[in-house]
Amino acid sequence: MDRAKIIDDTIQVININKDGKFFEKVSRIEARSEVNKLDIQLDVNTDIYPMEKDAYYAMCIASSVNTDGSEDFDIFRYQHEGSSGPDGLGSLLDQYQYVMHGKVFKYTIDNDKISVFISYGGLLMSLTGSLKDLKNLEIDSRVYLLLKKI
Amino acid sequence: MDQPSQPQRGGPLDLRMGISERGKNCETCKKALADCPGHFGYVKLELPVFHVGYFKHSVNILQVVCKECSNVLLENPDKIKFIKQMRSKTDPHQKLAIWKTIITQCKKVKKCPHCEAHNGTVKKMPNFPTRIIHDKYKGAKGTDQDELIQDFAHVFTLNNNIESSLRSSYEELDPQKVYNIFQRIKDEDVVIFYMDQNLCKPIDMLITHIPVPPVPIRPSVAVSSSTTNEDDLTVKMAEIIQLNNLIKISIDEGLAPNKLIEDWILLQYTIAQYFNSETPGLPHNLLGNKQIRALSQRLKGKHGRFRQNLSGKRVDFTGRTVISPDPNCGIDEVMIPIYIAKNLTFPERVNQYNIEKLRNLVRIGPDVHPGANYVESLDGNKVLLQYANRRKTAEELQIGDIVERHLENGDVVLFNRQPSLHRVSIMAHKARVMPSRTLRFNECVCTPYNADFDGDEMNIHLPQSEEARAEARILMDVKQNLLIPRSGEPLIAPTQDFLTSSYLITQKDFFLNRNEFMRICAYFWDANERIEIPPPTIYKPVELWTGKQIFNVLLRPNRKSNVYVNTVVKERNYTGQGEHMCPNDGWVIFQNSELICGNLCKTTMGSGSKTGLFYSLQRDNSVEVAAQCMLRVAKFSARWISNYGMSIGISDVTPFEVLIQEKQKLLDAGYVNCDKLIDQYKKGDLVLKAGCNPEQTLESYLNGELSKIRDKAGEILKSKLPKHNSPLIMAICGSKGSNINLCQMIALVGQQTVNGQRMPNGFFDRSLPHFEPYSKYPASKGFVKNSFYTGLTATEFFFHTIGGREGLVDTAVKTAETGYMQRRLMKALEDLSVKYDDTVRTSTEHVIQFQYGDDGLDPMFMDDNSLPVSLKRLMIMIKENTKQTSKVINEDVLLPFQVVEFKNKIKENCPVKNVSLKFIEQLKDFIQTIINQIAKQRKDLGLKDGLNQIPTLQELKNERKDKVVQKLLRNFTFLTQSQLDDFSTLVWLKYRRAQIQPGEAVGAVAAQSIGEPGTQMTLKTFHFAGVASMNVTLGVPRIKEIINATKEISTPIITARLVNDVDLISARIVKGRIEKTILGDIAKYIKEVYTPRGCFLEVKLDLKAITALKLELTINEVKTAILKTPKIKVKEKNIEIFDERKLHIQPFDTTRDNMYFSMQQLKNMLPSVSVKGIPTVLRAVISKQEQDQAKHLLLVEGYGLKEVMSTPGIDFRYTKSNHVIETEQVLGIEAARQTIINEIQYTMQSHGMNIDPRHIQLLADIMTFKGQVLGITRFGVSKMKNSTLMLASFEMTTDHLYDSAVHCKKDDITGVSECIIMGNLIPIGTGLFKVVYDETLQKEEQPGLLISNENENEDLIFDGINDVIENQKMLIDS
Repeated sequence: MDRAKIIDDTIQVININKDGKFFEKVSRIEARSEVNKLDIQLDVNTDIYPMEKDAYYAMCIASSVNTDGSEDFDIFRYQHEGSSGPDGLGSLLDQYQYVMHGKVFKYTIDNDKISVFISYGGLLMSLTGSLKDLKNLEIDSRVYLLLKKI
Repeated sequence: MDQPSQPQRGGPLDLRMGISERGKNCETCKKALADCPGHFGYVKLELPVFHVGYFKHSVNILQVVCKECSNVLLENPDKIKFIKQMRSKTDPHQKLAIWKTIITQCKKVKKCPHCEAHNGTVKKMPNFPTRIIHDKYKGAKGTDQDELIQDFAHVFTLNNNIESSLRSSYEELDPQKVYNIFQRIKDEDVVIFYMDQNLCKPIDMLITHIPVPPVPIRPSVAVSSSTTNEDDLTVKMAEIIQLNNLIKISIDEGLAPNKLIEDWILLQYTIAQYFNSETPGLPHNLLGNKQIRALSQRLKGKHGRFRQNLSGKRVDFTGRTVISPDPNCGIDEVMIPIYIAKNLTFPERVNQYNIEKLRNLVRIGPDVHPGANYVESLDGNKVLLQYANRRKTAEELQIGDIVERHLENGDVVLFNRQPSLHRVSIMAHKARVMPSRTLRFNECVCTPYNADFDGDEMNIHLPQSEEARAEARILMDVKQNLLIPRSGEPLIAPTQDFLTSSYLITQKDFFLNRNEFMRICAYFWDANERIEIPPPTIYKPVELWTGKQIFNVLLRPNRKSNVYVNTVVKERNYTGQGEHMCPNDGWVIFQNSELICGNLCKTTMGSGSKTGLFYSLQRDNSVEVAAQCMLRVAKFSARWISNYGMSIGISDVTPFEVLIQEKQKLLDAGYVNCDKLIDQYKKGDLVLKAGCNPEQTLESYLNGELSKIRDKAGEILKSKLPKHNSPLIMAICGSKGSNINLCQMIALVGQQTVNGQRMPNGFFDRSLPHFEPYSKYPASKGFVKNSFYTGLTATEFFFHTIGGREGLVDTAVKTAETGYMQRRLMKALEDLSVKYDDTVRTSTEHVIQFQYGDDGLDPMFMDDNSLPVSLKRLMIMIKENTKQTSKVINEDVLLPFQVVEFKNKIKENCPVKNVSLKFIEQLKDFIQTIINQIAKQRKDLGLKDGLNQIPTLQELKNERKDKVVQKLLRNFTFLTQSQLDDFSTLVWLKYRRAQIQPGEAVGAVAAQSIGEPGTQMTLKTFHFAGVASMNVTLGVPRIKEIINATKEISTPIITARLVNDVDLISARIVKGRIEKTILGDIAKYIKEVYTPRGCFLEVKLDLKAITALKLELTINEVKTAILKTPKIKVKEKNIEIFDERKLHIQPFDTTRDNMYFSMQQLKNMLPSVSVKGIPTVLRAVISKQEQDQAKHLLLVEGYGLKEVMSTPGIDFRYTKSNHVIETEQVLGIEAARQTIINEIQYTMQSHGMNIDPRHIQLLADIMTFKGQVLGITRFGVSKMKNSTLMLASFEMTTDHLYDSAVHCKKDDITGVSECIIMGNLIPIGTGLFKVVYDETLQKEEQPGLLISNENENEDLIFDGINDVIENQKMLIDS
């Protein structure tokens, strides 16, 4: 299972909709991770998954939700029934409360700070941190974002 | 006359000239009405008569020849010189110039060098249209007239006064005299008159016999059984015959000569009227007041023969009906009512493949839709299927017959809406026959036709041959015209509701569950292909898809689809920071057909942007894909939004509480500011704006203040209105309406203007009687503080109607004006095309450009940044497409220095001919930026950059081994060899495609590209160039000025760069040198001084003002300036310099009676004496440069470019005028050309129109290629072209025809107009080339054509092209 996890961290929400609320159902969360010290901006559908300021969440970015780490998803085929993995047993999905699927679409570098941008069907995420923490997020790869309140 | 209805023999309706009545037969050819073409007759005139058309030339010839001996009034050597010149020149303009010099030279001759006879000026008799007078003794000595006086000596005894009036008498040259003179002209002299002795001699210009046109062209119309209405020509001809008979009787019977002459003159008038009823000076009391439709009127004007029947003709196989929208209709389709489909037929030739289908159609017949109306058999028999035995006809159908079958699905039809202002007003659509009564098409195609559905009608045409269909389908298809040739921007794109739904569904908080997502996917799909549903965005807590994913499916429905879009768009609601992290979601990124972020509004989806989605689709994929996706958007949008609901109600425009308060605050603050300004104005404390008087300054300040109120209210609305407010949604996404519309509905309507000013005073000193006189307050000058929701007060409403009316008048005026402009542009540019040697030439092979637009590229294919290929997008596309391929993954990443090698060899490796060097430079620059980017990234990652520091082999090896480094490198910009190769191949492929093709009608396209936007320009005429006071004419009037090459333009402005442009003081000094300063400006006073010794005017100069204005002016200069002034009559001795600031000026007339008046006159004149500066300059204003605010430049209003340029302190190298003609006079033709280009481009750009510079260059070239600036007017065009038919079909039809007749001109029918008139194929586009093949040379055995093969079995069926080739090979072998 750990093979699939690219980033596994705990984040603290610093701000919700810092610049004002622009969308009814979506809020922009600003957070900071505890272990890797990543600066995170994330659009979350707070309509179905409200998040609280200053609260802690377990955040995981994974390349697959299958326990064996196999990548059986691609954008064009989605098998509804197969969501719990090939062995029909546990999947990462079961361990988290809020899961999104998206694509890494941009990398920028500013001295030694690297920013990675992920789009979950238009809900954006930016991760800013050091090179070594983010090197495993490959551009154009499909990733899952999993959140769970602690 | 035995029968009253029988036409008289020898009369104008003589039956030998044909018939105009059924049942009779022509007496000449014995044919009936339908077959007899009519026959000409003639009337022999008893006395010759002038021809109105040749009258001017007749006068000119009389001027040139001796009235006694008919020799040319030139010495023999001169004459021979001119004959030689005339013979050697071929250009009609040059010949005409020679003829004009001959006339002027002969005018000077007083005595015939051959017979010594007196000759004077010959001219038309004033107030008489067809009489000529000869002032024989003009300029001759008094004694020369003696012989004339001698002749009349016996009369003097009766009347003494005659002698004096005889001396000032003229000789009349009546047609008989002229006939005799012309008869004696020698054949060898004819060439001097720019005529041809074989075809047209001077004597031929007089009418001795008048042709009577055949009856069928002037038919009688029977009103009742006994009376008929005769044509104007018949009536006139009858009058002519009658007058001629009268004259004959007079001559034969020797009646009184005055009666004869009276009749003769009347005959002349009648004949003049017969040719041209609008001949100036015709006595209508004698000829009848009715304007008749004479020969000239039949040819002239919009409804004349040339424009109505020759340049355009009525055609068959067309339909016209009301149009309506249909989002289910493909972009390139049009739905045609069955009723129309049954009437439009296509002649399909029967062959072995379609015979069964056609038999079936024949059987069905004309009444049911997929049927046929006629069958034409091989022998030419045509069967009307309505009444034929259809079953039998179908059975007998043979290969080679032609079946006129109904229009059917898939047929190519041409679809058109008037006014056809540009080529996309006619496009080829695929027909789809449908029930209903209207023509329907996709709303996306409204823009090119400029159509809406408020009752518009459109036309369809069905091309009648396979050749025409093929041409229409390939060149005129809607899909081929998605981009406008004016600028290469997309023209056909989603509009209105399509934009609204795209915007709504791509909102960040728009989520769909499985049901909804599937349904929307089904909306835009016809169930003809497989859709693969993407995984949901949100898995937990519930499965949800986002609206953006809809677009992913829409663009690329399954993995087999190879549609790839990559584009980045800054949307209209982009906040300006954070790029894709923009809180409004206004930054759109498409990566490999996936919508990464951003809401889709007008910039992405709509027309007019070269970064949009559909632009990328067609540039990087294909037009078919773009059309398909557009249809999907249309279908999805129409279905989805009618379910979602988009409506507007009173609640949408009800102002909310915050707004009401804010608006009141704004109004209060604004009104207070206005009051302050008005107070200042009244007190005279207003700080004046540069070059403005107090009124103008106040108006400009108030305008600013009042428009600020509305703008601010608009901003409040935009930010505070709820997100679901329909008008707001439409304003944001750009589908309809703007911020102003919102504001007017909800907040306030704002200032009403007429002519760009606040409401004018319609009553004494006030706009309406409701206000106090001289009131300048907002409300009294047309400021409307109410909104449409709250309702306008009576005065506000009245002001609003005034503003509204101005708009209506504007549009009405504009359409007429731009229509005419368009026509002139088209006529001037129609025959330009690119030839096979890459030059742009006219139909007469005059070179206009050596290479089209200097680079030979087609404006329609210009991509981003006016490059033929958008390098940036191409590079992104290649990288996105290839980076997942194993080839690229296994390849090594290139180091910067390796790319540099590629860059340096670009020119050598270029496979395309005639590549512009500019493009190569741009390509190199682009590669260089990529190199720099890669180098910087390598540096940031701690590696050697590979540009300045090249890593060693060992370092490279280590680098390649290190997986992490490799991974990171590939996460940023990287390049591999294969990618670079692909890039290079594609660049040149696309460049080749962007090169203009021989035959392209570049002229017509240029004319349309400049003319069509004119119709869309609001007649907002003025614009402030830097300074508030310096207005520049813009819009249609300005374009008209430039195109007409007008001598006096309304706002001439010279932009002058200063030598020292940083220092304001020195700028003021230079300004003082240029600007006209009058004495009144710098004089403290001018007073009358009366002393016992005399009187004088004392002028005291205001030295303070002079220094303040930085004028370099001394009292002496003032003195000389006064002396130089015309009409002031002051002599040097009259001016006395009293001291350095006072002048004493004595009046010129000091006599007792006149002294006072001359003092007053002088006093009136003195203030307007120009003491300094250039007199033609109205004023000069110092302005700041646009690029660099610290630097100044001088804007000079008025003429005098030469003087301004030579003023010290002006940098003449960078000084230019916006006046084309003045630029031509001062700087030459090339400068004039550049001025035309700059000015048109500037005008268009300030109206937000984007026109490719190539079009404007072409226009400027056609205006200047003759070496002088020619306007696109009747005069200019006739100097550009030689073809009579073309000029006749343009303007002054008859003048050109008469001219050509006199000068025996030839027309080789090569231009567009001429070819259309003659019914030839035009030599442009697909008509440019000809098959050069002499069929008489090869009469013997010809090799069989590809398909028809006599040796083999007749019904040979080929499976494919390979079989054909095989078959052909066998033939060759055997």
